[in-house]
Amino acid sequence: MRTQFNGIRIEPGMSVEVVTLNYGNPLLTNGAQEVISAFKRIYDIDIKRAGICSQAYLDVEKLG
Amino acid sequence: MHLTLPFTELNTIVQQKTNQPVEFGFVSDDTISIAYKMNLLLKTVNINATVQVLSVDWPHVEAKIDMGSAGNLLLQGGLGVFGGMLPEGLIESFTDGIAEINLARIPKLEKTLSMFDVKGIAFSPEQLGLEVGMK
Repeated sequence: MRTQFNGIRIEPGMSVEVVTLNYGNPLLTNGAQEVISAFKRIYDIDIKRAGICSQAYLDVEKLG
Repeated sequence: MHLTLPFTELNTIVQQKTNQPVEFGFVSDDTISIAYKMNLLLKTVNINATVQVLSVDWPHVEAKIDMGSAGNLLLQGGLGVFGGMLPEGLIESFTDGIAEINLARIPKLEKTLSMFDVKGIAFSPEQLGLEVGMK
């Protein structure tokens, strides 16, 4: 299933790994900049412009 | 800059500002519980809610609010029951349990909040943590 958000195509299963020095959820710290940059770098999409930079759309899993 | 506010202090501040005993508690790093008593149709009702922060785009905060099946039903009714108790514009929208909250609409905090740029929110067992930059 493919979905368009504000004209940006998002596919289920897209995922990024973020290494952060912040102790909190990276979606809720520093304006989610680390997550936004990771999606930009890996998929060349702007999740902020797509309006999906939220736990309503993204699952956060702590590794390690 | 990282600011912290113990939940006990937050309880006191909210009670002083609203004359309403409210108890905030830790659930997880992005979720808190809120318990308070509310006079509804001449009856005092215990309200228990969990609030999960979904995203922060200061002063806008997107949060998932769960008040149990009965409470959610009241909320889905367009916040009609709670609307009069909340500052106008505080809840910009509420659909499917997700509220768009504009914290800049809290009148007594408007000036204070306008001085800061809050970049992040995280909860720990004892306190609310804010990652803050000066504007």
